[in-house]
Formats: sequence, C-alpha cells, structure tokens
Amino acid sequence: MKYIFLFCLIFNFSYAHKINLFVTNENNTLEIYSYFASGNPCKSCKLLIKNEDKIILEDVLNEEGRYIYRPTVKAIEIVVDASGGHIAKEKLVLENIKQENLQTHIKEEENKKYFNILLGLTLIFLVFLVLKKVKK
Amino acid sequence: MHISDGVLGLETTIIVSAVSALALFKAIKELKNEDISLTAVASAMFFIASFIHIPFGVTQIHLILLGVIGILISWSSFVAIFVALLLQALLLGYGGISSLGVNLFIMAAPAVIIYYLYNLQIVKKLNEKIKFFLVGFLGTFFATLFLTLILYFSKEEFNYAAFSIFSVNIITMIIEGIVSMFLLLFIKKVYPKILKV
Repeated sequence: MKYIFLFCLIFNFSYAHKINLFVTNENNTLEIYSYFASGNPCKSCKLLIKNEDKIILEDVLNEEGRYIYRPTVKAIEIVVDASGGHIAKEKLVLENIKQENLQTHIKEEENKKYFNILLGLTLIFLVFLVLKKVKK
Repeated sequence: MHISDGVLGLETTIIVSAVSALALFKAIKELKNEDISLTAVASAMFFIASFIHIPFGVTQIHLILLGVIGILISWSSFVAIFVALLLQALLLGYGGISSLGVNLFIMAAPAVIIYYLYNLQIVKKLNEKIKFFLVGFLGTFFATLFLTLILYFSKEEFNYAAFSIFSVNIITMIIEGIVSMFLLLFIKKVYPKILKV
C-alpha cells in the first residue's frame, strides 16, 4: 500500500503544474474530471466536495481522473488536491453547469493555451521594453 | 514547482513574500540598462521552459533552467522570474497571485545562489562539463529544497508530501544538469561573452 501511494505521489507530482478541473452535468449527475497541463489525468487525486465550507464528501478520483457525483445540495465547492501544493478549486451552482463534451473542452483549452503562450511572450517583450525606457 | 493559491498558511506566505519583495526591489534598483535585453531573454526562457516536458520512463519532467538563468543574470533573476511567473499565473493558471511571492522565492533565490557558487575559485577549477552539469543540478536542488522546507513549515499535513517531493525530484535534478550542461556548452561555443568566464 505504501508503495502504491508513493507511486501515485511520484506520478502525480511529476506531471504536476497546473491542474484543470472540468465538471459537466447530465440528468442531475455531476461528472468531475481533472487533468494536468500535460493532458494526463489526475489519477487517484484527493477529492473534496464542500457546501458552505463544510466537507460533504471526501474521496479520490479514479484511474482516469474522473468521479461521478450525485449532488444533494445545489451549491457546492469542488477541490482536487494533487499534493505538493497543486490544487484546483471551483465553486458551482448546479443549475449553472453546462452540458459539454469533454474532448471539445480539452481541444478548446489546448488552443487557448497556445494563444496564451504567444501572448505571454509578447507581454514579456513589452514589459522589458518599458523597463528599458524607464531605466534610460 | 508552482504552489497554488490557498495551499500555504498565511504566516508563511507573508514572510516569504516579504523576502521576495525586498530581493525584487534590490534587483530592479540594480538592474543596468545594458542588462535588460538579456534579462528579457531569461524571462522568456523561463516562461517557455515550463512547457517543455521530457519523457522519463513512466513519467515525464519539465525544465526550469534556474541555474542557467542565475549564472547569466545574477540578481536580475528576480526580475526575469517575477515577470514570467506573473504572466504564467494570469494567463495560464500556473501557481497563483497570492502565492506569487513564495513561488518567486522558490525559483529565483536558487538562481542567485548558483551565481555566487559559480564564481567561487574552487568551482572555477572544476572540469567544464562537471561545472555546467552542477549549475543545472544544484539550481533544481535548491528550488526543491526551498519548496520542501516551505511546505514542511507551513502546515503539518504537508510533512510527508514534502519529503516525498524531494526524493522524486532527484530525477529532475539529473535531467536539468544534463540539459544545462549541453545548453551552456552551446552558449560558450557561439556566444562566450555572456557567460562572463
């Protein structure tokens, strides 16, 4: 058991960086999916579901980084903890959760990531350009 | 090694962020106009390095290149890494805004330490390949050490995770050492002036 836990921890941390949390609602059943920036699922990551700061569920995601949850309250907070300081949180109201295809969501996120990388590099260039003008 | 918002205790976040703020202030004050271009390159290098995942067995690691940044720009590492971390948090959700100061300390302090170690007489006498390997290896070593200590002293629940993270990152340290060695050998060949050796 100790080795399985250690393996999960190694696996989780090595992939760790940003954890994404994706929740979709189908017939009042929530499908929770969490994955790392590399696209790999958050295997066996710790899952907490809270209602007004009170923990109503404590469990782990499965090997695919998923969890099926039947909510009993309308407003919840979902917390996925991959250890090592890597946490994803989301506050949700049941009626507001969209029905969305997971693959479409991942593809959209991937495209957004590339755009943001380019934007980030442009902003770095601009920040230092301003700094150069200020320091002159 | 980006710590997310809300993970650490308030005391730890405030103390470490205050140290980072002082170091950042010193770095901006001392930053010379002629060093800004290289600092911008280092910032972009750090921003991009986090996206380069290297497969390793069943797992994969990502680069941080702190040692290389440290020996290139010394204290300006705080400026370069601050800009990159801020944009990573705002645009990509890596780390967070309230944990920015802590993440800055974990990443930039090792870069400055490596700069001073690199300039020690005893290190200068080392074989070039070993020296460049150590630049990458120790950069990640110190970052992991600071991450481990901050987690350990922040909350009791992190005690076990903190030690596990350290042992896991030994692989990362070795890969960083190898990548940094090849990168610095290449820089020395094409543009030795910036290595100040």
